[in-house]
Amino acid sequence: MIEMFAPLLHAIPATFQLDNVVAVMIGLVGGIIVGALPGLTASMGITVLLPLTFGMSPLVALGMMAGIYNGAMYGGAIPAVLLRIPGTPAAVATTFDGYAMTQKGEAARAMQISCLGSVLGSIVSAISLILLAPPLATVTLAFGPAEYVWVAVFGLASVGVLLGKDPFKGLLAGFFGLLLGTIGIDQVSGHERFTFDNLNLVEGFSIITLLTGLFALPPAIQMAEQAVKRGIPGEVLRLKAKHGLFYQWRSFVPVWIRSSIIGIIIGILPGAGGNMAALLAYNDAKRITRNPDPPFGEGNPLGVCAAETANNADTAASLIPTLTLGVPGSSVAAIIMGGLMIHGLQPGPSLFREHADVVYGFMLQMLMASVLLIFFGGMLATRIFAQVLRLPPILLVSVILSLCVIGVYSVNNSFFDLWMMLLFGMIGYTMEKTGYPIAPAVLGLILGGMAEQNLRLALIISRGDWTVLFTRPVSLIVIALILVTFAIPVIQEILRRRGSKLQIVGD
Amino acid sequence: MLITRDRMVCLGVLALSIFAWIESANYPEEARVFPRLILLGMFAMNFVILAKSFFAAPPDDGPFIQNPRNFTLIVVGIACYIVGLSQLGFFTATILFMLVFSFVVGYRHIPQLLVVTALFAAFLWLVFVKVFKRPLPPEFWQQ
Repeated sequence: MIEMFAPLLHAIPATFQLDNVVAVMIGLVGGIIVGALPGLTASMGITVLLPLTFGMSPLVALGMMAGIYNGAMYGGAIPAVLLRIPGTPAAVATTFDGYAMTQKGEAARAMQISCLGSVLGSIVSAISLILLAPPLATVTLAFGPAEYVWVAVFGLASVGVLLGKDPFKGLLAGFFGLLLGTIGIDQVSGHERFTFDNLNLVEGFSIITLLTGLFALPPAIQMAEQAVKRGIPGEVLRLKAKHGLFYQWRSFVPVWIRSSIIGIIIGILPGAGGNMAALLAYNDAKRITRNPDPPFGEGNPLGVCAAETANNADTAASLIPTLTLGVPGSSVAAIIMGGLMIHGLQPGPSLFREHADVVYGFMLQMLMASVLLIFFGGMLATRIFAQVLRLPPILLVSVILSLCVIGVYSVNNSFFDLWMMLLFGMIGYTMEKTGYPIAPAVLGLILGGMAEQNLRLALIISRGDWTVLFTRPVSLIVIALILVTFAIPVIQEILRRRGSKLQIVGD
Repeated sequence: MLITRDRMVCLGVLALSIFAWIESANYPEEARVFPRLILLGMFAMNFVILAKSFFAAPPDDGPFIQNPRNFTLIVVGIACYIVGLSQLGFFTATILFMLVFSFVVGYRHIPQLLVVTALFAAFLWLVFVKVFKRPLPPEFWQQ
């Protein structure tokens, strides 16, 4: 057991080098700003800021990503509390009581509760990542090619089925991503596929081009459509705290514990995200609180605490399947996985073996970012970061687009990639407007290569016998999980219909 | 209503799938198995979504494009920006894009626009040119 965590101790000196710490801090600032801007999700923020890490060493780059991720999840609370606009989808539940507190003149208190909840949720989540990922990675070392095929199918199925409203649309988006992943030279036969003799397509699509097009362009286009020319007035953003950060902290302890556990469990499950964790934790806090005063929804601090603790507890936990299996559980995790791949690191059990210093360092950086959040998310910092809301959103459109362009161009110095970014932007816009989730498409591109290579490897080993995919015990367990995943929407539909029938009978 | 968003997307996906299926016929068997497995999945999902669209009323999601004028401006603007990058260089095209696009969509606070553009261009230069030394499209006077 101690041997398993020995690389963690080895990674400590490198992790706490000045350049790494500075990268985490810069990431936190960037993440909080992006999270605080309504319409910019954590996914978009990381995608847009990812190019800043290109010239860095892997650990410094990952430190920045850790900072952005943690910062963005907290930053979403700023407009949620002050303006009733969730800065990120995960901050929806924060608006319920956060804005009500603002209306009562308790905005500063709500921000303090958000900050403390976010910090504690993030710390517990980072510790769970450090404790759970290494043993899981050891278990996955026993996986063969057949198991990896099913793990890839499971990752895609769970995100495709559970992420959007319509599981069929989610799966179709996943298949679309897989098809995009086949473009370029086939790694086994060396034959070109879907390249149409275009040299720009021989290497396939860069993950950054796809991520930027699908995640960053559609919100920017929508912001341009709305063309809001005025920022938030400065008076709204003036905060004055009456109490210290830890005021009445004991009353929050049960909610911190329960919401952190909910966030971690939801984070580990592929397909579920921070918004689900926050809503579940909010309902849980509502359920366990006897005689809430004020009631939930009317400015109860426990509601803010539950939502913010849970959506931050989801962050590091969602990286557990990403780092150990190479299967990202959420869209942000998929982008971070893309970031790892850009820096030459292939997530999965081999990552722990071949780049132990980097992966353990990254886990420590997630912890460091969580702790530093208390300084960057404190009252003074919140006062400063909230000022970005004064910037007219229409000005941000061209800023975001310029960052997208420089990011995509920097990968291959290719104008063709920029045109592909625009094409994917249009596809992403259409997907959003027609209810197709984007994350499965990105996941398809990421997992496609892994699934195909392992499928062909399994078939070569078995001399073309397809039953090899169904005979090993671990494969059967993963297949069972896939079947359960497919059954969830069916069960939900049955329960919904039964519920509506009971409602009719009751009426 | 015969034409709905879902059916339009299904038609597009169907056309793409058929085209890819025919194209994959040119590949050796080992290279075409995986794409064809994917295409079979796409056909199946597309069929289900299409069938569902006949049994359920289309959701009322509002107009597909909220503001056609600004949508056209931004898409054409990005296209011009990409062309401008190769012809004028990164910083010239970026500064022009930021100024012209914001002005065209109706932002008239010129001093703030100039300050934001100048600060952002300086930030990009500092990060990408000075610190990371990334090669960016050369300016027109350097070509």
